[in-house]
Amino acid sequence: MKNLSQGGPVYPFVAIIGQEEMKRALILAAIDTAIGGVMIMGHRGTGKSTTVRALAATMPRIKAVADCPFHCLATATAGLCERCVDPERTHLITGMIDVPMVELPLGATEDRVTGTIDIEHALVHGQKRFEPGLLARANRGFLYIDEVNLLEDHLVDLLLDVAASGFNIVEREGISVRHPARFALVGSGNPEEGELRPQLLDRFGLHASVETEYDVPRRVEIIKRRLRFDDNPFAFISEWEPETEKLRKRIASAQKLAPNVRLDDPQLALIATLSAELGIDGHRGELVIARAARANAAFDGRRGVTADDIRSVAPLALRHRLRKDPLEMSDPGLRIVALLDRLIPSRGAQ
Amino acid sequence: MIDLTFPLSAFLGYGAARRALLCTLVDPTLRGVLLSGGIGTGKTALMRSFGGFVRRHVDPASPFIQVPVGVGDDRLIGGIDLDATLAGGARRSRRGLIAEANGGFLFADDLPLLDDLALGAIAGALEGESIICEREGISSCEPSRFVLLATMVPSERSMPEWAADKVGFLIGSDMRADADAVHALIARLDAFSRAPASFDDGYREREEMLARQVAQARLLHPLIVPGTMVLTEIAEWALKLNVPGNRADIFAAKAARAHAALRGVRMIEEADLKFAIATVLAPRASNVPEESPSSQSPEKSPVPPSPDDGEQERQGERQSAGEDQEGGEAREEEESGGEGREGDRGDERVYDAIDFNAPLPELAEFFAESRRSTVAGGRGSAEQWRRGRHTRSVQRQHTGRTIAIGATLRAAAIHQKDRPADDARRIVVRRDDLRVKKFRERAGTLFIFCVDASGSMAMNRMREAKGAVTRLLQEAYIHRDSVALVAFRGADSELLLPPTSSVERAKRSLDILPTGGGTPLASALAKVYALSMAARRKGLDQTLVVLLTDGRANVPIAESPAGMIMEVRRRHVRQELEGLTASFRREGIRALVVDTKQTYGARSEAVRLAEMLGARYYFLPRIEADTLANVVREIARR
Repeated sequence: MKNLSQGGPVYPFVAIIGQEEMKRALILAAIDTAIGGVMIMGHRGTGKSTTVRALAATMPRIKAVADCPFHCLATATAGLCERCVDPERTHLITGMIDVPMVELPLGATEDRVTGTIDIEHALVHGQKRFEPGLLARANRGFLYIDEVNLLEDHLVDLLLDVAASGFNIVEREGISVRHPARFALVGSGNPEEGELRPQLLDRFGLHASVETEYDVPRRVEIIKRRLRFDDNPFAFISEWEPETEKLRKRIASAQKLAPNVRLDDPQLALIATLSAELGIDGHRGELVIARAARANAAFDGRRGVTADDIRSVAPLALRHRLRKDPLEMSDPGLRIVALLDRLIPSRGAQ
Repeated sequence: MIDLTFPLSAFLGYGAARRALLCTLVDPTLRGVLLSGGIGTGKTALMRSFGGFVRRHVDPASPFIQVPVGVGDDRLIGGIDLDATLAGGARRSRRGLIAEANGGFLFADDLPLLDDLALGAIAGALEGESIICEREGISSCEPSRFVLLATMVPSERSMPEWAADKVGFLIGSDMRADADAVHALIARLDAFSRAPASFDDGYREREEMLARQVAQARLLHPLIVPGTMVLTEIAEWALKLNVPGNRADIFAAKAARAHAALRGVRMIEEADLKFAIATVLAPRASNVPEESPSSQSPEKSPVPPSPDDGEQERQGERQSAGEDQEGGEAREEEESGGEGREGDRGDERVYDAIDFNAPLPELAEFFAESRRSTVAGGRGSAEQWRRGRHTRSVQRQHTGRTIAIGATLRAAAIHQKDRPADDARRIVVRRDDLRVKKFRERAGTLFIFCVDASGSMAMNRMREAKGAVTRLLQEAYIHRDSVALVAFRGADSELLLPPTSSVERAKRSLDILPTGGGTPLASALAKVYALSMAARRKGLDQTLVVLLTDGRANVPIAESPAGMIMEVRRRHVRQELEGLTASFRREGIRALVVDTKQTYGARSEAVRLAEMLGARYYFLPRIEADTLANVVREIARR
């Protein structure tokens, strides 16, 4: 069963009520990892980590070289590890694996994150050999950090560097290794527990904010489902399996479709005007909107990006890039929506 | 043979806590009980006695693991087992306490005194039901489903909310409420310690009855299905109490169900709901209503229905804080209605912060200075060899430093082929293999804002004071400092915000701070002193106290017996201040007094106070009239 991770049964993604923004952001990041990951900020107890863990169990399985610690895709032409890039690799055996979902625990030491010398091997053979770390394990999957604001800055810096370049370079204890480490970085936290440096926020592609569900009937349904899951997780998971399978197929086809989704000039112009009017520095935001809008269109099975795609992804892509007054309480996403309403005359228009 | 512990059924008081503990036996996914109460109120005794009860009468095999204060990360999370590794010649790991607690209980006395990493590990394991260890060459993930039993003393560091939220029950101790119960309990504890065995015999039957109750509840529990009406009521209460997040609803539903099972009924009834609301939802009530006050019904009160059996149960800390917010007005009125207390009492009201555009160069300079000294070295230097968070391991002179085992072994491992091992030692480590841990102190400075909100401040420019604090908070945000906020007014001071790096929260607490009542300066200084010392214990050496006041103290900590003569009372106030300020000077706590008086005068009380504290003095500049006008316009536009 797929909904079994390291920790036990995982609550199904499709059974999560509300929190549409967070769910959409995660799905988009899963469709196209180049979007650059998701930061989820919001109240405690709103299902942030439940949702992230659930996503991994919903992802379509991937093809990978059987005994490669980096889960290389044999047919890829770039981003392969030293062993798989070898011309001999035609002999490599491939199989299907679950999308890696690696959780970075608080208190992880740097040697385990980057990987280091294999002590066992050194003891027995007297040779230096690289023992891959969490970054290797996360290649082609997700790297998740809960309570991201509690993580040491130097580890966050390291992760962001690797996430941006797609490679992990280790130069320590006399070993020198460069291996692929392409993953969607997902962080979650509560802004009340401490701020993140703005330059770190900027490195996440999307920024979803979650709020407590206030609607009573929906709250009641949340409790009911959770109680049923806790009482009998496996029955609950199988009950939702058809829905899960539907979503899984939808993500799989969106992954294939996304690179071929058209982004026409009017939409490109809209993206550029939007960032210009909001006074956003740099072009990372524009790139992210473009990619996310294509993923959004692909998820709905469309071959062209519409203004509506941009409308739904722009707050996610730009919210954390606005110049922020630290004491401003209202969601900056609202500003983006207001501007979009002005820029797009009527819903669905070009 | 298990050591005899005080029988659970012999406990007096703690009705809610005892029932909450029993509920965790019925449904362990309630995750635990956090019991908060003063020192010496029997919290620890209750937890131990519950542990004894479980092992003797309910689940003899279930682990009951205690977390020692100051536990190392390796012990808690797990890591490399040095002895076994050296002896075996191959890497051996050692399970941490969290993994050992799997299937049982993890008991942490004074839980908030653990550092954030340890708290994070425990909270993460509670939620993820497993403990991931990625440390020092060890990579493991072990199942860890446990119930957390924790105590805390509210006057010390409070529990970070993100961690507290992962525990189902948050319960305040009720021992202060009933002195007779305390005495009776002490008498029983005394009788037990004199003759444990015979005391135990006297309660055996009751203990066994309690155990049977648990066993029956466990059977009944799966048959109880909370209906929509019950769940709706829970959700509505959560909304009414403004409980953040939706996790608490789930805990409350489970608590009600477990409580019903313990009572032996198959339907959740009023009593079960009340219990759940009082022990799960009410303690999580946030004291800052996020909806506009008008949408709250006027009789909205965070006081939950009192639980069924008539025991007066005090609620958790935050709930009583909530009460202060809500009920404060009424109480203050009551007080000011009482005649002839010294001190000018204006009407109590909340003043908005003014956008403070007046130049604060001196003040800003002072901030910058304190920050520079953080980096410069001395006790608070950024990198150390003993304290703080372990960041990396380096090859360095190792005398008096902590050896990094993993890194050392990795350094030695490669040479083992060339080093003849004798029989006793399978791995030979030489001096130049040694690696030491390099730690990092917490960055930034802790700013403790201590704001006078007494009646006299109404005249003395409360809005400007709030504006100035807001400006300084912005500074703190930019430099990732942490801030704490203490306010004093009426009879007592209050810690509005324990140290946090969230400027948002500081701003919010400041915004709703009302003004009015006497000036209990000494009480505030005592709180500030305790905060700075606590920060020091946690390795945060750089603290700066910013005290905004007009300096006119008139309420002593030890409240005078009725009819105390004015002169005596004044002397009390002065003596307390002298004692406290001397402690500030002795400990070298740096402070800044911002005078909020209307006009500057060399003989201002604030000048005197600054001298006593050995603090800088600063007169809050006046705002020009046109600036004020701009500000008013600005505020109106929002």
